[in-house]
Amino acid sequence: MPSGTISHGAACVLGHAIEIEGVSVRLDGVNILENVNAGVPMGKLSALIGPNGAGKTTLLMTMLGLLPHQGAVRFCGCGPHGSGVPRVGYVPQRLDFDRAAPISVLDFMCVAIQGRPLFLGRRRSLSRRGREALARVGAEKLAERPLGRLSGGELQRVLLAQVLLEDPHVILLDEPVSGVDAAGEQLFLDLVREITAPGERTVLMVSHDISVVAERAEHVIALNRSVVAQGPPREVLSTEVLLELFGVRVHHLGACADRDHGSAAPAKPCSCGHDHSAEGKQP
Amino acid sequence: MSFDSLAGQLLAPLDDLMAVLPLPGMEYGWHRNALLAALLVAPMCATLGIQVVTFRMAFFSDAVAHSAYTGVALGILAFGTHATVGVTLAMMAFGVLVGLGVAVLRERSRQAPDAVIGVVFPAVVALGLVVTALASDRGLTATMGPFLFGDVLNMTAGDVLFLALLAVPVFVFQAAGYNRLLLIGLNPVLARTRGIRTGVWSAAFAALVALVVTGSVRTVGVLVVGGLLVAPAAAARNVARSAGGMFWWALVFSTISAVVGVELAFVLKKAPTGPVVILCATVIYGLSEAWRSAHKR
Repeated sequence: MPSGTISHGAACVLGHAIEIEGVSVRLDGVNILENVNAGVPMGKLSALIGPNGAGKTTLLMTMLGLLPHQGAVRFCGCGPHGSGVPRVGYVPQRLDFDRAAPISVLDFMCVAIQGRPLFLGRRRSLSRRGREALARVGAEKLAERPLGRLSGGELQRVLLAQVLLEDPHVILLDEPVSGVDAAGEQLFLDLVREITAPGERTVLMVSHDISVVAERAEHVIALNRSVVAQGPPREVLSTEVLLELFGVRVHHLGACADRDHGSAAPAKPCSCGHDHSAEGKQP
Repeated sequence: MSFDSLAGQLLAPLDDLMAVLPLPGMEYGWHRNALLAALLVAPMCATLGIQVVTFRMAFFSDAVAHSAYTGVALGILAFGTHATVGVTLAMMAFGVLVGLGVAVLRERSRQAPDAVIGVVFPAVVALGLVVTALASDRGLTATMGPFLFGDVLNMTAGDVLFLALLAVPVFVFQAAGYNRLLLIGLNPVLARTRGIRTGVWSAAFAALVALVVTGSVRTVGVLVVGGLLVAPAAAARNVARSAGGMFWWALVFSTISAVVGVELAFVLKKAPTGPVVILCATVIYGLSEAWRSAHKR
């Protein structure tokens, strides 16, 4: 029987925000996750990558305490001496509602934090908090718009604003850029980087998009039922790991060039130690 | 003192107030009771209807309403034709049982939710038909009529008080659960991370819908009670601009339907009251659709 634990405010290795130790999840007789061990560095943007069915979302749900599991998930103490219980926020991939529902963006901001039923009005203080959070993601103009009228990118920003309402130490993002156009994706990732920037907020983002990960993430966990590799992007996003992960050669857009050398020295050999000439040739 | 006479005393001030309303038929006690019953049932159904529409449970509520037929048959079989309270309680208990049963099956089964309901719904009605046929010598068929088609003109003060008591948990539930159910509808995982026990709330909602629908069938009838649940809420979604506004529009539309429906049926003399109320709600829904398309919303 699953006897896993999830602890908040645990003692961890210095510099870790989350530690995942020996986590296994079995659903309907199928092993979705097997002995996952990973550490998520504090104050950084980490990405969780892997093919479809690798268990990325399952791992996220497990960390949120929503699935029976074995092993331990530790959200590390966030105070000055490693004490203090961290607040954990979750950003879903999308909302399930029909677009005709008369729910405004500000309704959505208030619905999760307001005890008083919405039909007795939104609390003024909470509306203000909602507008402030929307302003942080550049969406203050959307406050009165119906949720169903938002574009994919706008909805993503509103979802991000929603998680900022409670100023979480750790944010778990589920496939944040799927279904958003390129410009919206860039804007969203800039925002994510901005909210992580103070170094105190930890973001773990599930992603399909290797180029996005290569460009933005500071730490990568490659998952395929168990952890295939983890570390800085230039180490993890090697041809060998990607081949093992996805079963095909995946071309990622110059992870090393952007990160280590900039565009000034494109001809220099890449420090990540693998041959880029092999990439881009799909078998 | 019987429940009816106690209810009569409790409701006397309200009844006096109703008697001076400038509406047709207010001189008759049965008409006042009918209007009061409709004014309790319609808003109760309409506010729950908001979530029924959100969670796509219109078919579910219809199935539960029809289980009232079987519940009545079983109740009459158990308590006899004259035990109104016993029969009503049996009907409601059976409705809640069917509602929770469907809710559990929907969770556990791999079938689509409407397929699960599509299996349970006819089975429950079939059971009712078999029971009524087997017990036809016990005067069952005649007693079923008021439940099938509604019997709002024979409502006693006790019936009205019963509906008022039923309204209490509905509005308490809405006060506590409106935001939570809205969030569950938007994203169940997000709701769970916010500490909302989605399973408990969904089951409580299914049970409450069953309780209200079966409690309302004597007012409007098994066949059409679904209209009171869905039509005002659907109309409210067409005109409201916020999640809170939706609640009040549903209340307003259902109240208008109740008053206009009961009075119209009185003026038309031969028209059955429950169905006229439903038709009023349907007309309002039609107007809301027209309004919506005119405003391109």
